[in-house]
Amino acid sequence: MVLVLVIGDLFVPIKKPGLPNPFKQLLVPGKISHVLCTGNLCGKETEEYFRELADQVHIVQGDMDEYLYPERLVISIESLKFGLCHGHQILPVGNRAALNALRRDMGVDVLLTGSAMKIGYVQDDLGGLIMYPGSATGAPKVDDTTEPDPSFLLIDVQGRKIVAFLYLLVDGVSAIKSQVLLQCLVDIFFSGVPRSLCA
Amino acid sequence: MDAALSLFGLAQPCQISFALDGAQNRPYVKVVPPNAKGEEKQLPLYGHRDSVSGKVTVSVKEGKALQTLGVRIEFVGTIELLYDRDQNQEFVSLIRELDEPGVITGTKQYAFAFSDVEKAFDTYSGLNVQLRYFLRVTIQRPHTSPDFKKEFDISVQHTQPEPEINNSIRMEVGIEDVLHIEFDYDRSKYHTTDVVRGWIYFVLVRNQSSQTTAWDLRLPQGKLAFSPSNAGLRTVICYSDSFGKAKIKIKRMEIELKRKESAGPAGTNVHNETDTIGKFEVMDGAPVRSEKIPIRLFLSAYDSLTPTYRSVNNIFSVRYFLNLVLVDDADRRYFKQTEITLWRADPESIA
Amino acid sequence: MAAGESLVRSDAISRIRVKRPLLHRALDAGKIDVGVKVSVEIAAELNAPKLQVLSPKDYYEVYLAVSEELQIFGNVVVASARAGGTSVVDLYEKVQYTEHVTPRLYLLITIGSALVTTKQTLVEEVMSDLLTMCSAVQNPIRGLFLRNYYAQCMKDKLPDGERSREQLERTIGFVLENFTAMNRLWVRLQYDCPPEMNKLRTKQRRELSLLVGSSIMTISKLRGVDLSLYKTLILPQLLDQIVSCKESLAQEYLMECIVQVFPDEHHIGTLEELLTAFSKFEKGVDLRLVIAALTDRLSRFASNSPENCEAVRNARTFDVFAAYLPEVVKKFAPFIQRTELLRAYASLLRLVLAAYPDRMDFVDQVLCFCVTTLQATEGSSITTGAEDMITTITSDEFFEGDDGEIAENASASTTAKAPGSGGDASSEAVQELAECSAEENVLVQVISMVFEAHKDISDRLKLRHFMAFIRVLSSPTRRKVAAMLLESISEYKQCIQDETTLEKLFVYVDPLISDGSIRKKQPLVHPLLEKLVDNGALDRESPMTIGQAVPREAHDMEGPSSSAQPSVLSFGQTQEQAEELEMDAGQQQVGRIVHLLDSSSPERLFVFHRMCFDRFRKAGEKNLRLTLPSLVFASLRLAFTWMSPKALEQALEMINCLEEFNPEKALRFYLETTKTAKSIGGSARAYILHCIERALVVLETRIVNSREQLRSLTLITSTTTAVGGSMAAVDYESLCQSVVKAGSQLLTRRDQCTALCDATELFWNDETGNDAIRVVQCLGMALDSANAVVSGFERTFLYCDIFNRTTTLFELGCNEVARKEVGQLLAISKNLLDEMGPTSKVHATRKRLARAEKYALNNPELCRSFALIAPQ
Repeated sequence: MVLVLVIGDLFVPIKKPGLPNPFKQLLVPGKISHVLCTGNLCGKETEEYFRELADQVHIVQGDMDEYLYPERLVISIESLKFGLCHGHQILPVGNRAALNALRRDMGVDVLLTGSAMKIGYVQDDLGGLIMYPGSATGAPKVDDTTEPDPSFLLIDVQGRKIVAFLYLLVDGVSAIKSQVLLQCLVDIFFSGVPRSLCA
Repeated sequence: MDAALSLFGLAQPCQISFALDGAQNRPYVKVVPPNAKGEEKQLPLYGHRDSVSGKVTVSVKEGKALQTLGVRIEFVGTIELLYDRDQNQEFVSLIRELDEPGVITGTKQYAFAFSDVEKAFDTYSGLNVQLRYFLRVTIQRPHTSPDFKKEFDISVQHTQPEPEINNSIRMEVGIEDVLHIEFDYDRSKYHTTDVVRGWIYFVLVRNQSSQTTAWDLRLPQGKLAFSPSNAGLRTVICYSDSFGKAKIKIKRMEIELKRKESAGPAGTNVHNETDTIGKFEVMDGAPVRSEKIPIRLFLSAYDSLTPTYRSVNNIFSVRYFLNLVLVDDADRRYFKQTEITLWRADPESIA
Repeated sequence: MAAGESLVRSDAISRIRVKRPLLHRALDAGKIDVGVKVSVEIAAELNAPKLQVLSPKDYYEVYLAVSEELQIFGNVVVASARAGGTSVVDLYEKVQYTEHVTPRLYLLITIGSALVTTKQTLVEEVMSDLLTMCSAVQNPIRGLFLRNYYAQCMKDKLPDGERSREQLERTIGFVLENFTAMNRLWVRLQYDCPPEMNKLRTKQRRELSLLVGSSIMTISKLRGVDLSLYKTLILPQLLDQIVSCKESLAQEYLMECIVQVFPDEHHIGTLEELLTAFSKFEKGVDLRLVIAALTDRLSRFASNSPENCEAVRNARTFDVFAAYLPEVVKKFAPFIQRTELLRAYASLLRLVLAAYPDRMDFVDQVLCFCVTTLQATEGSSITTGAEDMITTITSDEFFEGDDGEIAENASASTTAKAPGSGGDASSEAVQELAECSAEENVLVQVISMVFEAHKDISDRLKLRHFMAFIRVLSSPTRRKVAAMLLESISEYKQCIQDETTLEKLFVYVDPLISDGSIRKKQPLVHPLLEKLVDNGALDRESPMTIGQAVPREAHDMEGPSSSAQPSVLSFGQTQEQAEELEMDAGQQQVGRIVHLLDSSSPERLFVFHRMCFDRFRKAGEKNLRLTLPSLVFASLRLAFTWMSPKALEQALEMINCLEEFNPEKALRFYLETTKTAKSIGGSARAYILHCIERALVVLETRIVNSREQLRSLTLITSTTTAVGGSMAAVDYESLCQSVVKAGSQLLTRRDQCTALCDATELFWNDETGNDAIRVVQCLGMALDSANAVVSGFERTFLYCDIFNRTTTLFELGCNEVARKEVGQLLAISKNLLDEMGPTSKVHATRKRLARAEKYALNNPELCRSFALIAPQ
């Protein structure tokens, strides 16, 4: 069992002063083995925080980051390949077809991406996954009318099986809602014949 | 010895033995010679005017006959000077004739009694002098044959009333600027199974001054460092030290119980002998200023104590002293001797 | 020596063991007299002159062996007495015949203990008598152990409060008397040795400390000891002895004992007594230790429950400390390092934080104490060496005088300056501490504790002495502390509701904001990236790392893997860069001020933003690079939520200012502004075109890094597309031309190709409509750029990019792009790869091509358009 934290778009301190406290209390060192960050940390301190959380920290470049990180990364965990890309550079931004193409191009089972500020996941008809951790600080886009709930994903990987948990901070500061986002055996056939998925 | 002689056929042809009246009921006193020579003896105890009576048995060996010029018994009180037998003194001598001259065969018993006989002194057994009371039976022999004699010691002790005046002994002594102590014995007169209680109070101790490093007390060893006080008032002595600050590091303190025996009739060479009856450590280590050390000395721990004898028949005296001794690091001894008077109490009255 | 000692010890113990059977035989036979004799012999071992060489520890072992035997003897005496065989009273006399005092007293205590066991009524008499007799042993070691034996034997027999108050008081009297005597002996042990042995003696005394302290423990455990008894009887005597013994180790240790063994309530009730005693202690006492012992104890107590906390507060604990502690500190100041004095206050602070979570004024008072202490002790001659020297030469005015000079020059020239000669600095009573000096570290610790406990910035702003406090720190530390003031706020509540508070905050964090003078010029490229490039971690020549997928397989086999990059970063970090980073972190904290502003009223927020902007700008423009972005974003948000062109203008003013110092961010904010302007609509729409144009200007004039150019252009492309519908078609058209032109003018063919692929976006979207011809045109230009690339390998990559982009466009409905020529790119690429050696890179690329092809083959329509032939 490998626990993977998928997190991104924090914008600390540009848009938000910091990770919400309930998240900080939840995320303690020693439990998580990988941190996969979709970018836009915006400050070195957040990276340092991640490095305290886990040994394996992978970060890609977000549009508001100083340039410190690669644009894309492929990380193998257990028997799965995870692709990490912030997504602002994939046009049209947030487009599923474009992201599917990126996933195929990178040759990964699961593409983790930020930018679009979506929360959740989609599955393409090949069985590949695109997952969106959302913004861990609830950073809004400049023209959002409401601020999104802070969120991140925690993925338990076992072989080719993943169980993903979505953590959402609702009601502002205190309540953490965690829900099983999906549970499935990632089974991709590039031949294009989708296999039945176990939910 | 009798038995040994008899082996060679030289033994006395008769045996003499005593049986004192009421011997079973009498207290016995253990007499220990002070120099630890000789044997410890258990002697029946008599009071000042107690009658001494009993029976003497003379046994002549079976089939023999003993010719005598008479049998008599004496009650003798002597003071014996051990260094000079010639000066022995008999201060009491009473004689009773027990038998006419004649022949004794078999066993013959004689009763005797010395009624109301004055026994002025206590039995005493010292280093140079002994005071004894004894019964002596003499079977007188004709011509040149030696008389048969046999002595039998008794002991005599007088009890005294508790002295009316019994002040405490209190002194302040010391070495100027170095040591200054006060001591205090609760009384000056103790009965022989009494407890000496008291205090030693260290008024000043210079033992850890930082001014000099040497433990330099310029006092010749053994020399008197404390002097007696006048009438118990403070006298501080007196070895002014030309080197300035002197210090003393006391290792321990003890009390010696001493007996001083002076023997010899007035006008002759008096033989003085002092012996230490007991040593009793009262303090271990070096005290600092204002320490108060308790003294509790049980005299009953010492068997051979007698009352103080000022002058017994003008021949000898026995006095007792408490000697407070401080021993320093270099085993030098500083002492202060104080006489105490011992008296013998009636056991009934002190129980 | 040590071997000799252990021999002496084991000899003594074995002599004791040898006598053991004798003792037992005698006791079994009922010969108590013989038992006494043997016991005396056993106890006499403790008196043996030989044992004088033993350390207290070794002596203790012998003591244990002796007391074990004596206990057995004592038990037999008790049993025999109960059976009617022995008169313990007689025995009590008889053992006193013993000639030597130490064994005599051991026996006496043993029998005395038996006497009490058999005849409880005698307990007080016996205790008192034994206590009196014990003073006969004046040798410190022997005396201490003897009295310990006494205490041990009596411990379970002490008459306590169950009988009567009077008796309890007498019992306490006995224990205290023994304690006093033990302490005196313990102290004497120190003076009893030659000076060269002092250290060893102190160590040995520490080993013995428990013997002395156990008496205090005994008292604390007596039933019936209440506060009034403690306050009126016990504590005064204890303190009297502790103070009057005039010895530092004893004072230190025993005070700690008192603090540890008695209940907290007692301490609360007797604080004044304790603190008064502190002030009378000897100069060698570790003042901090005793104070910390007390305050830590009370802190723990207060944090245990609200009731406890209330008790501490009801006793006016802080007031008492505040009344006494400064006096104590003042008295000790000449003998103790300043650090320790400060630490004493740190302990007090811990208590304040634990017991008075709401009393910022108390915290403030402690800060004031710290500053006062520094003022009072400054220049005094208690220097302990170099540390203090540095303190005195790093004077405040120096830095002010050398405007803009770099600190390194400072140390050289200041050495010539005599301490305190700094002229007009006299008005400023306190000199600045040296950076990282021990004192400063304590102060930082102090303020960290405050911040840790008081997360709310409005609380922190209540500290009136904060400014005086940080003024004594060295400038780097001052900066650090100012950053901490902002940093450790866990929740950024919007707590600043008026201008005054904001101004005040600016004052508090002034060292952080204003410290622009010694900043070096910021390199355009982040130093870390430079490092990265130098180390070859980022290979600019390889398209694989820029904008392209990094196939895992390829990565594993050559070069550092991407996950290893961070270690390269920290490895290559120089001191200078580390400082730079720290400074950056501080500046980012300044940026956080924005999050503290109350946003309930847009008008006021608008003013706040203005104030911040002015303050930041005044402070040093170089820092704007880091301080401004948060403010800009906040202003844009304000403009959006308030729908206010006025606010938008203010934001633009800021962005404009940012251009010079952080062009990348400025460019991005221009793009953000277009979105805001679009949302606001109305007159604000005018800014849409303006901002994109500004972004293009910035790209052209200020952004020099080629990678950044490409990235920026991608963003411009996507933003232009997004807002394109809100501007006039002609404007859009002209913008599109500019963007395509910028793309085709990028430095490398590779970047051109990527940018032109991206540019297709401009002409195929929902916002501005679809124009297949322009799309095809763009792709054609991209292909041209790709064809112009020299490296065959790189070319295959770009072909694949174009192929993928085409596929996507096709899926988005732009059927026109799917042409045979594009389909052929795959075949060409394969051929190119075949010409290259079988390296892992080639292998990975081949796989990538295969994936792209496979996908296309799966779609019959695509297959047809691309003229791809499915493999058999």
